[in-house]
Amino acid sequence: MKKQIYAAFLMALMIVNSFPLFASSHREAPLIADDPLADNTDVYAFRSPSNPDKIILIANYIPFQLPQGGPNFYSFGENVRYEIHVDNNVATPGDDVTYRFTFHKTNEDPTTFFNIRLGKQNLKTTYTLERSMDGGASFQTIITNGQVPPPNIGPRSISGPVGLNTPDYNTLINKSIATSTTGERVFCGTADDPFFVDLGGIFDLGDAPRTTGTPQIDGLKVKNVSTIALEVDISTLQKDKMPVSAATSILDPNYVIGVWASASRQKIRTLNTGGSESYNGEWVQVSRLGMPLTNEAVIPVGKKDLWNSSTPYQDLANLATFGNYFYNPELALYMDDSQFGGAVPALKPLRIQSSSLQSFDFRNGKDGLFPLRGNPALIGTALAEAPLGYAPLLLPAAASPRSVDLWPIFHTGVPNLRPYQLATGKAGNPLASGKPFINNFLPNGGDMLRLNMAVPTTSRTDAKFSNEGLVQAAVLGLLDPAYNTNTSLQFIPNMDGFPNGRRLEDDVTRIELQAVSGVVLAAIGLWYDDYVAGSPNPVTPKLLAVLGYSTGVNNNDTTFKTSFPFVQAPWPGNTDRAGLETNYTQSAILAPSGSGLGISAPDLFFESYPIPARDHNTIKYRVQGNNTDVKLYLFDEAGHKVKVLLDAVKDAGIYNINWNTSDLQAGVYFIKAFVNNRPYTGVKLVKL
Amino acid sequence: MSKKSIYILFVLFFLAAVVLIIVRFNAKQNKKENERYTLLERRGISAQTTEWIHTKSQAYNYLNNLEKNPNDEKSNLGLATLFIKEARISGNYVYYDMAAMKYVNNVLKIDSNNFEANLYKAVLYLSQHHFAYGLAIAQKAQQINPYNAFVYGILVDGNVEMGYYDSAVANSDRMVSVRPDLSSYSRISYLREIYGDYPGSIAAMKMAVDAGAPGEEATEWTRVQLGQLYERTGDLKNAEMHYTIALDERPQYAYALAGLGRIAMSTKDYNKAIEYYLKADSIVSDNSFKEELVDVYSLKGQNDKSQNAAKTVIDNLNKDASKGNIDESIGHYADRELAYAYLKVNDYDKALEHAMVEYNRRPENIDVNETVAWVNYKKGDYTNALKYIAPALKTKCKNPVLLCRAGLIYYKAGNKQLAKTYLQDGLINNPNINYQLKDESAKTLRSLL
Repeated sequence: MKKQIYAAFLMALMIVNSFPLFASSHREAPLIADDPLADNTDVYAFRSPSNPDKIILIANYIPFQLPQGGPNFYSFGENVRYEIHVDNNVATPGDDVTYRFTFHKTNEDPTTFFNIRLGKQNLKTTYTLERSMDGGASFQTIITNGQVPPPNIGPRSISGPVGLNTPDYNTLINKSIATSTTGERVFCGTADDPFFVDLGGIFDLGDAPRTTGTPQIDGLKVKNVSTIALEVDISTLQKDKMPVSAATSILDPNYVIGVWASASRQKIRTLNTGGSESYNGEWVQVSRLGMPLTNEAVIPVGKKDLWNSSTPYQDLANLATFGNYFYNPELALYMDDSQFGGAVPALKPLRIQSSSLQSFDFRNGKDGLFPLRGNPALIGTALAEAPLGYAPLLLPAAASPRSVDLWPIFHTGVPNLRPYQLATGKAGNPLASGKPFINNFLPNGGDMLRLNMAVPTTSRTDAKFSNEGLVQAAVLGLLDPAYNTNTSLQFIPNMDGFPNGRRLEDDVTRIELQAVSGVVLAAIGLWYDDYVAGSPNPVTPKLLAVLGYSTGVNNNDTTFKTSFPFVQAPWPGNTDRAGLETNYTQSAILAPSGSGLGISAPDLFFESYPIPARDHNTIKYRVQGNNTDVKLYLFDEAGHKVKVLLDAVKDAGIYNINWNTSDLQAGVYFIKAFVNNRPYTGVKLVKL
Repeated sequence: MSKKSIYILFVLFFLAAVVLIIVRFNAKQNKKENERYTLLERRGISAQTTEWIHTKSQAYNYLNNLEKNPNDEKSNLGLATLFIKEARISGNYVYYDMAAMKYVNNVLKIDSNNFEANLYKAVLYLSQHHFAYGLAIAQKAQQINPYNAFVYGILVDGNVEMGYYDSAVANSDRMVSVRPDLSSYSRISYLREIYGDYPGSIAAMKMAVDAGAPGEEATEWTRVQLGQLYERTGDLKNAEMHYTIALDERPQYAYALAGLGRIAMSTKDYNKAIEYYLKADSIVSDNSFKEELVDVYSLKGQNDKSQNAAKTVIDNLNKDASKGNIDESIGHYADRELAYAYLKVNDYDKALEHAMVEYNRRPENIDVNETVAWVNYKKGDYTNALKYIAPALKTKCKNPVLLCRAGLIYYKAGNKQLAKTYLQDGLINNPNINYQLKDESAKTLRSLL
């Protein structure tokens, strides 16, 4: 999914079409098929705002799930290995901690078409969690028979006596949180997709924010995703197993971790003389994700298989194969008036330094800071030659201007060394010591999310909390008198935000676009072109334009939980909007909409049969109270009302509606009930 | 007039004719190159989806970009992939393959080593049954990028069609090593079937279905294939269940409707079968549905309808093939299909003619050998039937149709022992195959017991 999102940002750069492509008309199998069950969508890593000793790791899979996805709601695939990987030490090869999830499904009541009935669940999903602390050489099972909550089909299935008879869906979520034998807490299940982006605008030639006058719409509004969430003690992830209380500072370099997630499937042999084998081949990684952007928009289509099957630890060696997008990002061409700066009006506020401090040009193909390489002024900075600095990584060659900012953000992390300190206190010299604000340096060269676990959390209720993450921390460090009067290390709110890890709230699309336009360079004193070196105020109109940029969709479409697993409960299958893009705002997604209405279980069967219907269908329903206004409408898949099946005032009792379906076009429909003009619930109807 | 004048006039006339030919050829080439392909309106339920709106908008954007810059590689490729996809959805391979080929060639003119353009060109050649060309281009693409599952998929398909089964297996193993998924599992299933391993084939196809997203065309396609494997092994309950699930997940899915049509045929519910086939045919233009109708109309004694349907199939196939005469870059080779179509109208000479054209293209392919053998059998030439059925059996494929045909051929050729073996193997699970073939096979087998 995010493949499409970010690829769309690159507009003419890449046109990724993911579709079932067949080699021949009759017999050959598909060549490319969407593979959502093994599709990483996003990875998050942040220090827990509710328990500072813990780190939250979240890997999401299976994009674009509509809440009413029946009859077969998406869930984690069997025969797929889902893994979350952690690197905490560049000196040790590969992962230092790996969590491996495998899922299993059982049918508790094969006699019914429904997923849930009378306390029993079909396609009931459980999981096994294994952990490796030795680079994957050995695994220890730490959870068996972990429970995945059923899909949030609707209040009747979840809360009704004919269903699971639980108070609400949150109860199911809380019940399913497991504690491993080694202390981690774990949640696996469906959740609201925490990502947000205006897909429609972006697909319209990168029009984000929209310049055409049409409203911005979060393309992931009312969509669910399959989530694996882990709450892990910092001492488990720290390379020497030290607690966070032992950190020497809030930027202690020994507390940096790199996080990435993957999905793998088994290969099988085509022919086997000893009988066919099925599931006993080697596992092959088919999807991976670390930083939001890299896999989706950077890796060329033809190289995706290689990328997905390799690990981040191989990225450096494969640099020539994949190409180094980050040295000269194609997106930057649309932020450069000498290139295609006029092509995308929405990105107009974002312009790259072409003459920072009247000396340095960071536009594609220019040299950036490379002319300084070898200059004695770099001694003592991260840009010095090895072994004192990292010049081969950060200043590798001419015409690679972004090797000093975008490359480390995505592939090494950023050290707390000069010049990677805020301009505060630098007195106009970007190479001078400034105010520290980041240290997530883990220079293994791989695509992963890097988090310094020692950085304190920003309370989500703090007035200074911002989903602009580290960009906002930099702004505060430069402009807020509470932080900009000295160069001493102090906690600046949002230092725990992207790209130092990634919180659920962080607006990564906006931050990454700002980063491409050079905002990090500006933060360390390589100001925009309209700043004249030596002038007192570097906060120029160009800087303000970049900081003021927004894609137009800046927040998720619902809240987050305040405690583990932090992701919000999934949208229920009976939601009015059924995942469609609208301006509709659902107020309380967690309250079962059927509660307190005139229709109730246990005897209620708001049931439609047979399913699928050919020429007729019967709806059976029970009304509890007298003088109840009952409406039953038929909607098609696109949400259009097709038929009024009932519009009447009924007294308590059980009723049947027999209706002729022969005039309906074949397809998927939803029968939706309204009781006293309040939406009640819906059932799916398939017409053959 | 002097001889010299005549000579000069003759030369001038000749030169004028040459110029005219060149001008006309160039005009034709220009017309072809300037041909602007757009989307054709869809019919049925696929025209009512938001995906269709999105597809149209994408096509509009690509065409707009190309008007401004005909060398825009990304828009050329984008349009080509969009047309390839649309061919599958609409069934109109003739038009969309030609359209896609134009834009793929545009890219290759700019960059002959463009990996994706080479891939898509290979796909289009395979789609048009130009298997040798497709294989050659896929091999070139594989040289450009050896770590891509897609390219190995094309190599599997191309090698299977050419009858190079060892190479197909090697490429299949490579493909699944690069990316185990629906695409690679389903190819393994097919190769296992070719090598006579139905349990293994079913196991791999189940893995393919499990690896897909429910409701997506690719997933439901593999589910229908799974149903067909069950049909061939006589497990009609499982077959019907999978067709029903496919229809539930993807309403009106034509290939699942046709599957239910075949299930209806097994219970001799011909009216129901006709209903399913007609419905399928109204959704996707695929001659295989009409071929089924030929048989079922015939069984009902509706010979006019049967003959009409058969003629329609022949006309369609000939029309597709004739495109190749107009535009040499593409055109559907349909000789094997035409051979079977002519058999249905008892035109054995035409059937043999087309079967041999296909045989000369790919003599190693077991299906083509089976076709030539069967046409000869129907013609009464049992010697030649015998000659071609032996290579058709070389992979030990246990497809019941192949085995029954082999049994009948050996019977007529006088080898009763082999006839009995093949007929017994062909009928052992009571597979759901063509009624006439099954009936003739059963009668023959009874006479041998």
